[in-house]
Amino acid sequence: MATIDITTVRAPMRILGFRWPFHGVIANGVIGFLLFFVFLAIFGEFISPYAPNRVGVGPALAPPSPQFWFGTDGLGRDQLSRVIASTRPALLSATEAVSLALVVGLAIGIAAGYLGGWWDGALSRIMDLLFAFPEYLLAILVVAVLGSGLTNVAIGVGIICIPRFARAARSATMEVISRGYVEAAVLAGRSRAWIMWRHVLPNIASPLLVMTAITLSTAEGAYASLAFLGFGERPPTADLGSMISAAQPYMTTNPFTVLFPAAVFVVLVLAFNVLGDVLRDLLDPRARPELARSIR
Amino acid sequence: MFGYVLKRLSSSTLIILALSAIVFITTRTLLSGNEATSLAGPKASAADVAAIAHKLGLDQPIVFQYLGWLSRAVRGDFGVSPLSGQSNSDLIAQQAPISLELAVFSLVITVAIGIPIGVLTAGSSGKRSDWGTRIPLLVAFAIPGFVSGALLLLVATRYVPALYSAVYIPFGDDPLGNLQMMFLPALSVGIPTSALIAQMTRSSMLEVLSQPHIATARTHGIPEWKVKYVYALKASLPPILTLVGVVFGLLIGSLFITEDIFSLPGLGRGVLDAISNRDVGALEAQVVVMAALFILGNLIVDIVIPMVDRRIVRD
Repeated sequence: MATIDITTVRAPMRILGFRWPFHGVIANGVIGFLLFFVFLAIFGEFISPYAPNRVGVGPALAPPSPQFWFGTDGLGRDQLSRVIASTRPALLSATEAVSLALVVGLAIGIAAGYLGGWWDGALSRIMDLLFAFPEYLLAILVVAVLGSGLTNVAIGVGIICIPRFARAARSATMEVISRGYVEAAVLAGRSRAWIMWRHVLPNIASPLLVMTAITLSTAEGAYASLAFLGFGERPPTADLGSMISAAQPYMTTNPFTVLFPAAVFVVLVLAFNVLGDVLRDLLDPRARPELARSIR
Repeated sequence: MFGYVLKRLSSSTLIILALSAIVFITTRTLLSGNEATSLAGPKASAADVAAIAHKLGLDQPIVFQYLGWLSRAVRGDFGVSPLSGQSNSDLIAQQAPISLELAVFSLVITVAIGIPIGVLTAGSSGKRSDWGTRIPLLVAFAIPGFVSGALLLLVATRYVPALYSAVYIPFGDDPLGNLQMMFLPALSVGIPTSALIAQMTRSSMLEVLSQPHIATARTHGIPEWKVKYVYALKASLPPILTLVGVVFGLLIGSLFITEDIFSLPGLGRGVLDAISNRDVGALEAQVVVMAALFILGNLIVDIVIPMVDRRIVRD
């Protein structure tokens, strides 16, 4: 237990003057992989072999071949092009949902933790109420009210992710405000808003960063699930969830129509989860007692 | 202990009450369309819709509507759907057992797979940063219900037809047949959640195994299996149980997907149907019952945890 892992302490690599914090194949691999997906989401249309929505570029339900790497779907559309095109709604929905949850959740959590008293009671009760809904149920109700579509589903998914950020931010804030520098700022006559923004927020950032990565994967899964149920992007727009649900009848004749979008989706969710684990290893000293001891 | 249970019980009741008010008022005011517009059809004039709404009592002030609904709902009467002519309470009585069975069955599978895997992987390597065991668990966790469900359905229809049934078999008619057909749906949602439980079991076990009382037990010559599976596992249970409550919520939430794929007539499908038909009365009943099931599950977890870990009650 007391052995010190020397191999993990290495001279840091620098990129543009910034210390590159990630070590190891897994950490760098997953970041490279996610950057590749971001590239596909932005520039995918320029490298995809066919127009993703063009019907009949090949025979229907063709198996993978040099011409159609991922095969074709029931309408003879190129699956590879559709999978590439679907990375945009996938990443966009997850980013929108998590941004919403992060901003609102942080605001609620910091306010509840810092102001305490009546504010804390009221805000915490509201969060309890949001937590009391089974996750997808609340998202589906929100989408039923707002209507289908990427942004509306992202709002629904974002709302179900608010309470976890709020709770994490609240407990981290309560830990931070007992420290000397917050007291010093109060004595220096700083306003409460200033203290929350300049002293509390930066000091609770690291646990929330881990949560952000993991919530990206949750949001990704929730969006795809709702798209699978038919609430996402309107067809013919390529979208992982709706592609899988549309391909289900063909599963026995050509399983590749389900397998490729499913695999891409699983890998994407996995990448966010691994990113969360990598960040936790990096930011939470308790998660790697050996290295933490070696640094002190 | 009794006071603690009472406190939990009353706060759960309050949450269900508040939730029912929010659901009722939002679905009645924000949702576009209701039973009246569905009955009148797309070509009806506004006056026709208003007349039907008046007949159904939908034009009354929302607070009166809610209080009337609530006073009947607490007696188990959710009204009659003007669209299907069916009593909503009967509808719930048909759907809820299916959903509850699915959720409990998948919870059993989750725990039965997750905890042993977590214990085994915690035992095989003492290191926390062992990607060899972390990656497979993360992969399993990343598989969503609609992918595992679709794949299991494909495998079942081809190779194990006994596990697939196109129609729902009620438990009362044929218990074995019912469990057989519920196995795949339960497994499809149980795979990712069991990975979650395994992860938690693993990290909780690793934490406990480094504690002094474990070292003491070892120096006393207690066999290693007993140290691990009796002493360490028992001490690592509280965080696992807390997660079981979370997992139960995930399972209730995944009912929508599972019931859709395996065509099970439960609450999840009912909610989706009620939304598309704008059968708001049925929707409210189903949503409130679904949320109540989830809250009840968490209440049970909240009551069980202090029995395992006495420190909780004191807080």
